Amino acid sequence: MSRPIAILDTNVIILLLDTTNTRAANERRTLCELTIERLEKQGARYIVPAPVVAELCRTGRGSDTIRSVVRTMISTLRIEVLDEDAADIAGEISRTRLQNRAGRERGAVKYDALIAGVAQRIGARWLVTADADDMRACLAVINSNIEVVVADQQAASGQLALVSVLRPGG
Amino acid sequence: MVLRRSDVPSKPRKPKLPTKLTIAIDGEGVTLKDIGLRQLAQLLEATASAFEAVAQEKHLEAPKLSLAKAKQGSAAYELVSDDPQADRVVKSFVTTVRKRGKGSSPRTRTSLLRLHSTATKTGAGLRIDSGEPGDKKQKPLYLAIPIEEDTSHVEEGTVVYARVVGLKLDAHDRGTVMLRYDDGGSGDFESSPDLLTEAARLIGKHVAARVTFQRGEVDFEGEIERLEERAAPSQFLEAVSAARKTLEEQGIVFDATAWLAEEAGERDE
Repeated sequence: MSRPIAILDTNVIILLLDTTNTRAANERRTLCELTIERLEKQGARYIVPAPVVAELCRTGRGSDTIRSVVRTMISTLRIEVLDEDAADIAGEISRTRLQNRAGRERGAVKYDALIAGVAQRIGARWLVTADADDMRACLAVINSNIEVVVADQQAASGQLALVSVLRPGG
Repeated sequence: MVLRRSDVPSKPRKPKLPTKLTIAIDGEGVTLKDIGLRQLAQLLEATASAFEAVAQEKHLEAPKLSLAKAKQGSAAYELVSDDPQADRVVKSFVTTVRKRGKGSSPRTRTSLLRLHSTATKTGAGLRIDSGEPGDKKQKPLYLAIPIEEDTSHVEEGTVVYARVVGLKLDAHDRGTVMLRYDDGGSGDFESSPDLLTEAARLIGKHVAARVTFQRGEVDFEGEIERLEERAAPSQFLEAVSAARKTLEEQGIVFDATAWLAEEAGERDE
């Protein structure tokens, strides 16, 4: 039997890369790492959709060095291509979500819709993200069964919840 | 007294008989003496190749077939195998012959064609008999040329993530690389001799392979065009740590919060 697939959203990879060393950033990063380890223990196989690579490597913020580091880092994972079926699903998500934006649809197929499209196409079990609301909204359009896992939040149950209770001031 | 099922001693199981298949050069007046040794060798080799192709298509290991008997009554050769999967492969082989290769993989169809041409060189037809001896109900099955198929296949290229688990180089220098996909299942892809050497170096390792598939009524694996080694999937967090270290060493401050805030701003536009 094949292992369940967990899709990594762009924002999780960005949070993992933070080097500011502020307390808040370190906490979010640690939570992301714990989430990844937790799902890995459940047999998850991590996959990065190609649109995530596009989002990470786009121009704007980030130097060539960052892009190069990101590419090396995600090369340890499987990159899933955006095929015709996935693009079709992404189109459906965008179409439905943009119904209230008549006249401004052009170029509005967002990365979130593309990522959700790939996740749905390959039958992912989890979508690991730091932006649960947008992803849930995308997946709801296609009545998807994919579970959205919020990477930078304490788990609602299990060992991490216990840690949360025991932590001073927690 | 109530007799329970468990009180009744179970019948001893019959030992499994070896799987049999007879191939016969069937023609009027043909006897064993009419088939030269070289022809026989070619016929047996073509039969073995056809079996291997069918087994591969069914994702089974090719059974070890042995020549058990040569019989008169045309020139009939009885092949046997003790392998447990042999029965399934023989049944698939017979079905493929009966359907004249319709819906089979290109490799199976080529091997059937080769078996057919080898048999016709003897001037007679090839009869295949997988039934019990004396089974009158079974009609004789003759190998015919595979049906011409609609070749409207679309060749699709993609990248698969897998481990290299096997290599093969046949007598015609055609290479095959066997990949076990990370998400289950496996595929055999044709390869050039150069790529086969590269694949040999990567055996047992995780790779990203650029491959093609023939998409049609039935999908088949095509060729392998490129192989790249990649780290084992579980090394992701180690790679993240190494990436952060690289950024810190180069004095680059990567502010995730600012990046995400910028992204959120773009989304709201």
